[in-house]
Amino acid sequence: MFKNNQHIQNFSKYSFLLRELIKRDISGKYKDSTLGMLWSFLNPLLSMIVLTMVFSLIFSGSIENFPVYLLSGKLLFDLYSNATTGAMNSIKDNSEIINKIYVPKYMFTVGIICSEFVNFLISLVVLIAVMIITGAPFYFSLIYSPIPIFFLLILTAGIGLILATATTFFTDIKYLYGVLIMLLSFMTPLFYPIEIIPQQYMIVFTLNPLYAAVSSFRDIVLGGTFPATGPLFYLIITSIISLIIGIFIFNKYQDQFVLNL
Amino acid sequence: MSNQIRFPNKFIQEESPDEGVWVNLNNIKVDDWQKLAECDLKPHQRPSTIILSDFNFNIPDKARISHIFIEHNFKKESSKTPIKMEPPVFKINSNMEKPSSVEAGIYPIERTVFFINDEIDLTVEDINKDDFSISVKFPQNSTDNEGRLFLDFIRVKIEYEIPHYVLSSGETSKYYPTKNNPLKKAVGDEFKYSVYFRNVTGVTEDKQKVEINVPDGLEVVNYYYKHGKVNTLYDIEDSDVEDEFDTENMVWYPSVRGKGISRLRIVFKCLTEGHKILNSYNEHAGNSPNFHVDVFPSDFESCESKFEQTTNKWASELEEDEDYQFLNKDVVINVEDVSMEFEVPQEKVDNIKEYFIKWAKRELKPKTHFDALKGVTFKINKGERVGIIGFNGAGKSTLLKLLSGVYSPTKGSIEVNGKIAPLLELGAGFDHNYSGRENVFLNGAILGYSKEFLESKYDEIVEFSELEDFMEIPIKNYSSGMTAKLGFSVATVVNPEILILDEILSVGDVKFQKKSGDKLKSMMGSGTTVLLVSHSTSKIRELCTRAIWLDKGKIVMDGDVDYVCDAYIEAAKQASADEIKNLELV
Repeated sequence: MFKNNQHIQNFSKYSFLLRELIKRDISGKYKDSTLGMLWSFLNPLLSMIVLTMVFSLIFSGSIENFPVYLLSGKLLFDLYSNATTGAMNSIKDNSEIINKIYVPKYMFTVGIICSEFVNFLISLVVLIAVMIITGAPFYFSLIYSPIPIFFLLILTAGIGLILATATTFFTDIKYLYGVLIMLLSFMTPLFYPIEIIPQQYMIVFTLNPLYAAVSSFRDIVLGGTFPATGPLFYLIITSIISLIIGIFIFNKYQDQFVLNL
Repeated sequence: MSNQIRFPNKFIQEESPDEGVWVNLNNIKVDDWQKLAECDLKPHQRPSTIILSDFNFNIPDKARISHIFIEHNFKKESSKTPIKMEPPVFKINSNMEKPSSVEAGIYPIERTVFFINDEIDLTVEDINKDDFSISVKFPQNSTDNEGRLFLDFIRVKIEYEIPHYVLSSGETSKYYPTKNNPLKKAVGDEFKYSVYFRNVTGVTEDKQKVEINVPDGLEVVNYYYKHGKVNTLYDIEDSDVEDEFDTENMVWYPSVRGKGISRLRIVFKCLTEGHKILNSYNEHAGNSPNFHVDVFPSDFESCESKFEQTTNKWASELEEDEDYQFLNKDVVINVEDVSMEFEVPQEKVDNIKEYFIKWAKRELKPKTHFDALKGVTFKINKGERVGIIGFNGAGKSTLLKLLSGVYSPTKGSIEVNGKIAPLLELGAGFDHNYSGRENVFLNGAILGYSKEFLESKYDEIVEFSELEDFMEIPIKNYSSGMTAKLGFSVATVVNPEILILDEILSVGDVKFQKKSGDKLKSMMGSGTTVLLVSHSTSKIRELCTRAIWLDKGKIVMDGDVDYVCDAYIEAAKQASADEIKNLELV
C-alpha cells in the first residue's frame, strides 16, 4: 500500500501541473465575466446582504451580529459544496486529457478542491471586513480557526474523491447530489439559530459533520473560545475516515476511469 | 498513367451479297449524333463486318500498355415493327475478341469494351503500326421485320504507363548541404553521402546504372544498402536481385527492378582540402542535386551538422555501429505477457435507477469481454527504432496507450526504464480562453514538464512554432493549424530517452511539415529508443529498424523491418476492405 517513495516522486514531478490546474480552475470559474475574480468577494457579500435583510427581520434579536453569524457559516458551507461538486465533475470534465495522456488522475480532483480553497481564502476577506464594519470583537481564539477549516478540507477531499469515482460510473449522482447539497444546507444552521430546532430532531444535526465544522468555527469567531470538544472531535474522526475511504475507493477504481469516459 | 484517344481514319466493310451494306461509314469518326453511318437490314440479315485501321497512335516506345478501351455507340431506327439486334463483337488484330454489352436500342447509349493488355499482350509497336485494326462483327437481325441500324462512332483509347525514375540524395531535408551552406569537414574526417534511386511506375525492369560523380581527394571508406525490394499490394515484383556497387568506377546498379526504391549510402573520408561537389547521374533520371562539402585543414574542428543529425541510420549501418551495439544491451521496455481486456456492456446502464431495477429483477446482463491485446511479450533495447504495424483494430493504439500509461494492463506487466515522451496527442488540455503563452505552460505541465524547464525552453518553443506575434492572444482565435503547431512545439521540446509516436509526423502547412519531420528525425538520433505507429509501411521502412506486426491483439511477427513489412503486405491481400481501410501499403 505504501510505495511512498514512488508516489512522492510522482507527486513532485507533477506539482507544477497542480499549480497550473489550480490557476486554470480559478481563472475558469468566472471566465467571460467582466468583473472576474471580484466575484469571489461580491458573491458572498451580496448573498449575505440579501439574507441579512430577509432573515434579520424573521429572527430579529435572537442572533447577535447576524451578518457575521451568517457569513461564518455560509463561507464554510460554500467551500464544502463548491469543492465537492467540482471534485465530482473533475474526472469527467478532464476526460479529454485522461484519455490521451498519462497524468495522475487525483491531480484533477485535488486541483479543483485547492482552487475552491483559494477562492474561500479570498472570500475570508469579506468576513474580516464585515467583522470590522459591524464592530465585532477579534478574539484571541481566532488563532484556532485553521483547525476546523483544515479538517473541513480533509472531509471535502474524502467526499470529493468518493464522488469523483462514483460519478464516473453513474452520471445520475451529479443530479442527486445537487438535491443532497440543498438538504445539507438546511441541516446546517446557516441563517437560523440552532435553538429553534426541537430537541427530538437535534440528533440529525449532531450527525452532520458540516454542522460540527460550522459550530466549531463559530465558537472561535463569535464565542471567542476554543471549539467545543464534542463536535470538533466528531469532525476530526469523520473527516479522516472519509479521506481514507475516498483514497481507497479512488485508488481501487482509477484504472477503470479511462474505460468509462 | 497516360492515355491517347483516336478515331480511325480508314474504314473497310467486308462486302458480301447477302449482308447489309453500310452507308456514310465516314461518319463514325465524328462523335456527333446527327452524323451517323446507316445500314438497312432485311429480316434475318446481318450488317457487313467493319474493319477500322489507321488510328495514328503515337505511344512512346518505352511505355507499357495496360488497357485498351473501344468506345462506341449504335442504335436502331424507331418503328412499329422494330428490328432486334444483339451487341456486336469487337476483335483486335484478329486475335482477341469480346462482345459489347447492350443490344441495339432506340436511343443512343455509349458503350465501352475493354481489353486488359496482360491478356492480349500487345506491344507499343503493335499499336503504333498502321495495320493495327479493330473489326466489328454484327450478329443478324433476329426478327422478321425490316429496319435500319445506326452507328454513331467508334473510337479507341489506349491506356499506358511510361517508365519514370527519380534520383535524389536527401534534398527533401531542410538542411541539405547547398553551395551556401555546405557540410564543413576537416581533412581526415568522414561524412556520408546517400543516393536514392526510385522506379516510380515500375514499367520496365531493366538493370539501371547510376554513376556517382566524386571529386578528387575523397576516399570511399564504407558503403551500405537499404533493402530495395518493394512489394506493392497489387503488383508484386518478386525478384532476388542484389545491389551491386563498383567502387573502382563509382557505378551503382540498384537492386530495384519493379516499382520501388533502392538506397545507397557511401562513407567518404576527406583526404585533401577544398570545396567538393558530389552528385549522381542516371540516363533516365538525370542528375541528382549537387551535394557540397567544404574540407578544411586537419586542425579544423568540425561538428555534426543539422543535416547529419536529421539523417536516419539504416539497419545495415547499425549492425556495424559499435556505440549502437553497446547501447543495445540495455532493455528499456519490457512487456511481459500483457493482456488488455475491455468490458463491453451488452446494454448501457449508467443511471442508478435502471441499475437497481435490473439488479432487483436480476436482469443485469453479464458484460461481454473484448481482448484488445492477448499475451503480448516483447523487449525493446536501448536505441532500437521499432515500428508497430497491423490492420485496423489490431491493437496498435491500445499498445501505445499502455506503454504511455494511459491504460493499465488487465494482465501482465510493463516495465519502462527511462524518460518517456508519448507524442500521441498534440495540445491535450489546451484551454481555449488561455493565451498561447499560458497554454504552453498548461500543456507542458500536463506532459509532466517542470516550471523551470518550461521557462528555460519557452523561447525555443515559440521560435519553433513560428507564432511569435500571437503568443499573447487567446488560442480560441487561432486556426487549427496554428494550434497544432503550438502543440507540436511544446511536445517536442524535450530530449526523451524513449519516444512514442502515433501518426503525427506531419503537422501544419507544407513548410512546417518538413520542419516537424526533420525535428522528429533529429529527436530519433543518438541513442533514442523509438516506437512508431503509422498507417504507412513506407514510413515505417524509412524510419525504423525493427517492426512488430500485431493482428487481433497478438504478435504475428517481430523482426527486421523489411522482412516483417513484406510479409505483412502479403497478408494484406487476403484482408477485408475494412481492415485495410486508410492503410498505405508500400
